[in-house]
Amino acid sequence: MDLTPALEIFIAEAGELLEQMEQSLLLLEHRPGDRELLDAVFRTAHTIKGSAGMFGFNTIVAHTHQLENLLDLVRAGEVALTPALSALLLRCGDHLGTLVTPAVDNLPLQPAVSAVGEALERELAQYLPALPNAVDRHSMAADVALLLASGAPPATPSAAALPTSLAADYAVFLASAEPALAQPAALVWRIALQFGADVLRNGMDPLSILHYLGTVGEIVNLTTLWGRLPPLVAMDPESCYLDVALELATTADRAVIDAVFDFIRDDCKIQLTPPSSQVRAQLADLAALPEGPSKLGEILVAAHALTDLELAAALAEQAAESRPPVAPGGPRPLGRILVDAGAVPEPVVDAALERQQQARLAKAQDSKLIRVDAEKLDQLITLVGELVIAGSGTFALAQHAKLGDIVESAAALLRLVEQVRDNALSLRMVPIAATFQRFQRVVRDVSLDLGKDIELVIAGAETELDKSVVERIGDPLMHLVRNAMDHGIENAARRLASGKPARAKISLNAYHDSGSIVIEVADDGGGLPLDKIRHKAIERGLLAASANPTPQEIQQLVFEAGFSTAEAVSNLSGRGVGMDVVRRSIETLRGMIEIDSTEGLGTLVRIRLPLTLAIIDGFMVGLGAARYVLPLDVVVECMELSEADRCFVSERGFINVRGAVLPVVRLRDAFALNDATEGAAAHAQGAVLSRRENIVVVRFGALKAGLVVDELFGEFQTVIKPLGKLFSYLQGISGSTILGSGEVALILDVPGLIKRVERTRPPGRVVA
Amino acid sequence: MAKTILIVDDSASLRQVVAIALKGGGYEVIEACDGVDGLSKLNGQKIHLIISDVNMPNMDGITFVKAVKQNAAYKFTPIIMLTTESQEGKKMEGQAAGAKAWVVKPFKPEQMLAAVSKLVLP
Amino acid sequence: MNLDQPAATVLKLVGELNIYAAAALHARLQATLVEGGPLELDLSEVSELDSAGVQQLLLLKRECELTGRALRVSAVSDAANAVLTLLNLRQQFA
Repeated sequence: MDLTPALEIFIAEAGELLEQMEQSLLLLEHRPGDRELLDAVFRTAHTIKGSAGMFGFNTIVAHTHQLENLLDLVRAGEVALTPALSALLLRCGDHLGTLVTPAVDNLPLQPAVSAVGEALERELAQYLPALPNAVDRHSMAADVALLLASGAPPATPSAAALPTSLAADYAVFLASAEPALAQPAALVWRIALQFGADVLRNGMDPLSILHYLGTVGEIVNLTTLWGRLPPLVAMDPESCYLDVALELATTADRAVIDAVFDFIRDDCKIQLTPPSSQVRAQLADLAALPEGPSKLGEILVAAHALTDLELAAALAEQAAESRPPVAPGGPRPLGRILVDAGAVPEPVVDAALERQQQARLAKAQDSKLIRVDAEKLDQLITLVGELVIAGSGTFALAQHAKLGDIVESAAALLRLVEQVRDNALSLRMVPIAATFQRFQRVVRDVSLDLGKDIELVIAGAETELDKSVVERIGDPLMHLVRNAMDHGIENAARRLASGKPARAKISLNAYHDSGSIVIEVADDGGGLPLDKIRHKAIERGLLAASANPTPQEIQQLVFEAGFSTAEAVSNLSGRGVGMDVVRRSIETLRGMIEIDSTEGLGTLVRIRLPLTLAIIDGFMVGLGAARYVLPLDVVVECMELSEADRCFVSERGFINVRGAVLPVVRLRDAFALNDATEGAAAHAQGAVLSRRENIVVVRFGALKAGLVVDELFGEFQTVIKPLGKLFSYLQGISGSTILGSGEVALILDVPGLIKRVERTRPPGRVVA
Repeated sequence: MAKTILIVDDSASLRQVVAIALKGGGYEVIEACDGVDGLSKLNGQKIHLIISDVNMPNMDGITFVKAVKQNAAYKFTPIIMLTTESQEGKKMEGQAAGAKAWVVKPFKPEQMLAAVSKLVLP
Repeated sequence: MNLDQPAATVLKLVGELNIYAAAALHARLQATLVEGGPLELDLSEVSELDSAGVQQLLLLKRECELTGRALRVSAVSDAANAVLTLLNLRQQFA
């Protein structure tokens, strides 16, 4: 193939383009900032670079690349086109003109010319910002690597002035395009192709692919399958229904065969089964594999038995099988999927699995535990917390400044910081097992004391939670378990009389549920005596005598302060010891406690705790100028408060959401924020009346409520700072955080707020 | 009968390289210098495949591809988009517009011939 | 020779049997299959055949088999022959 005509055109074209560039630059001096002219200048540089790249003229590519980068910035308005810069660009154009002829004739550059080029590039570099990631917008490295890969410049100026490397490459290509028949070492691959419905519509004819495949090797035993064809009337004539199974005899390797299907890969199912002698080669590769990957897929890829794309497809299939409904037996292991798909022969998978086992053993011997002072971890978490705040602040500033590169860089940084945060927090996560196990002894000893036969059943001991939470959950749990044993479990005679087994059961259970950890203490004892609780509550003034509470509401009364006293214990012969103390300690952990009891059958106490105490994913809202943060995992949805609903809220304290009653609290009222206190100007403009309000629907456990706020700001990384003792009486606020801007935002105590609205609901029924 | 291929690019030398490569593979080649020129060259002609650059004056490659797909006579014609390493986004845009194949610049003539051969029988 | 056998309907497909002609071919095949009797397929003047065309020919063959209609291919052009050979379907349309 002779590229001489193209080279001749390149010379003429480069001359024309440089002339155009010069004219546009000169015109720009009269019409500074003219968009079209700027685009034209940029495009001339871009086009020269592209064409020079086709011929491997590296010096021209390198120079125009610099030019292109700078022009891109000029076009984006980030660098001003000053007369000095304009003059520099004109000189660059002149320099490019001197590069064309030597490049085409393949002559070495004269030292003087090279020197000019280097000087110009240094000058250009001064205009480029110092940010390392902003400099190389056109991935110079990749371009140059490609050029280098395309071969060294020709050694001698040939008469045809054609880069000989191209001709040589083409000759090689032609040779490889010959059917591999002549090659005695050709191996037979089995290939199954299921063409997607859209291939024909996309202009991808299976015939062309098959024909091309015929240039990679020799197609033997091709079978066209048309079983997917529907009856004639039902068929879409433009959809493809054909499948093909074939054998390809070739010397090409897997990557080359795989590349044949580049353009149809997204639409089609492609199955490549390597020849058996290939299997031997793969087994040898496996054996020779250095220590390294420990995942099956990675091992197979490293041994050239699998391509990255095939691995990705198999992993996607496995992920699909893991989603419900899961087939009996669960999702297939990766190795099975690969064998079933014919991507990797079974012996190779087996060998790789063995290899994996060895890697694991080696790793197990390596991995040792390190003891770390808990204090150091706490310091780390505190620092990470500050880092998260600083990161969010930087990101917000970058967004505000609208600097694209910096926003991107800040976002990348923030992602990393979040990963660091998750990792740091996970360092403090410990299984609850140790805490639970302590109760084995407690239950054994206390049941002996009480003369009751009680068995402790533990579930979910592997559930992890923050170390600081584990430390502080022990005492409340001890209260609950002792309570259950003392008062919940009946004596053996009574149990037998009510048809229960003599041996009683107390169970401890832990699990994760929507961003919280739930710990349950259950017993199969006598349950809460509702009537007695009700009387006691009325007596103590916790319940209006006329009130008509539900059983659920009566049960929760045991957590009220002032309900449980020493006297109450003897009087009620039920539970009561320190239940309000238990509730308070759970609430200081930002948790919630509820009780669910059936008289005669038993009691279940459910504690719901946040996973960690230090950092949460928050959701920021605004009330006037103030900012508040809610834990993101309690937010169910947000909606605008309509005019009609607004009346409902002020009149009755609830609204109708898709047919369900949602109790609502106006935070403005709850915090007694006066409209007038926040800017008389807004008032004067009547802005207060027309102000839009939004509802954030929050959920805690089974309870839901709506919070009326002014503005929604969305997700926000929040590091919780506890409130000082001075503010501990504050209701509805659980802590504070510092925003990137340095302002303080208060963190809403959602469980507290929900309880507040729950008490006022349903209207007309007064409980407490 | 030889298959006809339309190459749309504002660089004449690049078009020439493509033409030399494809003619060597037994294809006919028609050239156009931008999107507008490309549409006018299509006019009624039987074209088996289109190769289009992205960044061109008058009408860019993405707009051109969308226009081609609107034309009933060419809606099933395969299109190869010419992208550069730094234009991954343009490749996606091109695919969405209807150009399901791509070749990355700078390419060797034989790479272009290989890409075309996967789509059109010689 | 059986004189009772009705004369075969001749289906002569001409020109390009490709994706652009797929809808038209689909309509034509449906119309042809409404009638009964043996069918003679003439592909001698097919200038271009692609997968869209091939799958409809396969469908025609299958529908004929299902309804017990005789299908005979009388002639095949070089272009069509090359495609059917590549797909190893030559004996299906003998």
